[in-house]
Amino acid sequence: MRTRPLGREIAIALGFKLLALVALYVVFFGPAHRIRVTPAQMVEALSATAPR
Amino acid sequence: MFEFDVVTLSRLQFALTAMYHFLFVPLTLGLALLLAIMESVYVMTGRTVWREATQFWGTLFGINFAMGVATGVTMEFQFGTNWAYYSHYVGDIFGAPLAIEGLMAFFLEATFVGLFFFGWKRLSKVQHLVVTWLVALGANFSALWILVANAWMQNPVGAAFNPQTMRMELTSFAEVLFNPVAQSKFVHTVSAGYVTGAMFVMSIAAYFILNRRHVAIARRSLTVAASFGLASALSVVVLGDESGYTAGENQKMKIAAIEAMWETEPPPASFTLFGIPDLKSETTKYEIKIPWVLGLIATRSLDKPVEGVKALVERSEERIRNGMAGYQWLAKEGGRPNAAVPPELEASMRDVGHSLLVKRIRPDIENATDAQIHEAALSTIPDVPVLFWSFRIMVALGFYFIALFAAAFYLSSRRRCGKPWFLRMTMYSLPLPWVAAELGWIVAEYGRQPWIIDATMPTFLGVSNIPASNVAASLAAFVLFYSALAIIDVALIVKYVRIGPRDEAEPQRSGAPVLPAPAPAQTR
Repeated sequence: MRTRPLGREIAIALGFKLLALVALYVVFFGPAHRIRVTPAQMVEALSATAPR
Repeated sequence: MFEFDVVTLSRLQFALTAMYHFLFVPLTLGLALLLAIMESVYVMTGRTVWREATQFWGTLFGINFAMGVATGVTMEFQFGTNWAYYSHYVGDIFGAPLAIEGLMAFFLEATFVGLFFFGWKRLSKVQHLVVTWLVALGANFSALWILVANAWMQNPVGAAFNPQTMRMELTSFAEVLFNPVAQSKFVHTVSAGYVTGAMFVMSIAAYFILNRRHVAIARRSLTVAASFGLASALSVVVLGDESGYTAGENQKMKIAAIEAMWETEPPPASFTLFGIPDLKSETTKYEIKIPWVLGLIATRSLDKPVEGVKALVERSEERIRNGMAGYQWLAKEGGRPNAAVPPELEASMRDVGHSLLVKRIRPDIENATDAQIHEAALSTIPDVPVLFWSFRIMVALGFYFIALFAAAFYLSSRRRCGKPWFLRMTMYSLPLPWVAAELGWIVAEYGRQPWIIDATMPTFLGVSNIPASNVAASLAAFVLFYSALAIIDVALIVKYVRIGPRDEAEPQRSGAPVLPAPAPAQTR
């Protein structure tokens, strides 16, 4: 079966994009980097005596 | 000047990803509908030239869709890391439309896009046409949910603050969905997408006609794009006016900044066509005004004033003072399991967001001096020159599109394509809808500042307690990633435009075909 050039090119581009997105997520945004905010922290942020 | 702290860097990162993502969105919205129109003509007439046109524009749609899909997901990454306080505060409301959009994009849109490409030989003509219309509908519905979420930031309705959880909680999904800002934003944004799609088709068709290639497909495409583009460009202006009215109701400071209107404009309020805003003297020099127009846009009347920046700053000062009691109560009682706002503080609680603006100036806001309160009130003024010029360039482009599409429509109705200079002008107009769309976002989002949720939460309070270097590093990675993606996208689109459609009247060029071979030719 003849490979269609556009299909191949899009598949390569999508593969690159998926890899890059996964890498960005793991390095910068994964669960380890996520900040959890509790109601108490929210109050603290509002009433903090030093600017955030 | 900009201070590259965590707030500025987080905003810059979000703006970059949003604006990059929005390069793909309008073309998807517009091109999907044009594909559906062209395929409808094919199904109704049986002429294969229309199927060839649909397949060619479908190829370019496919490249744009593949490159654009998931570029917006990085914005959702950022909520959890850079905008943790914002996410906590609004997650209950903001999460629902974003989740619906995700489901719609992946299950409805992506499924039918797949069927569009692989269904030409497997589905009947009518079935395939239904699929193409569903691609267009899916794309538009995805946009609706994103704009519902965005509109809530401009006009937070259908929600109430819970002092026990310290977050906004949903009270009426219908109010969030039918938020007037969401409705006007949705129709304005999708119409801008249709203009982008129409200009894309018309510009490339003009390129083919100028080069005497694929003329049969190019002429038909130009005709469809000109008529669709004219209707869309007129809609953008009319629906943009509706957006102006909703902003006049809910975001008076945004309107005042767009108009560089320092003093309250007495009725019937005039619209400033041109002027040079001067921040120092708080005046607009060399103003050229059109009587009555601003009154009609912002108030739908000729007997109501439109408040200026100075009056609105005074009102912000009042709200800052009014919110102080609520703020003090919240700082003491907020987050407790049995916290309930005392009835006598309910009015003050509505203005706590304004009082929080003082926090950027001094942390113990209850001790703020009059001068500091005034300074905080001044921070409610967005960047006037940026809004003033962005808005005017966007509107000027809108009227240029109407003129260009009208001329192309007139020529098409006379079965003419126009002189080479007109075709060249059409071709070089290709990037302009994107310029207008991005300027539109600047007006909408930069004009919302200093609020992340209008009059409720200041932007600087929404960011996480993280080092600015973390955001700077991910921002640099995004710039690299998106630049690479942009290069691939443009290279692919240019390559397949050069290859051109599978035009049965012309010999095939190397590199084509790009789509499954069509069924045996029918009458042209």
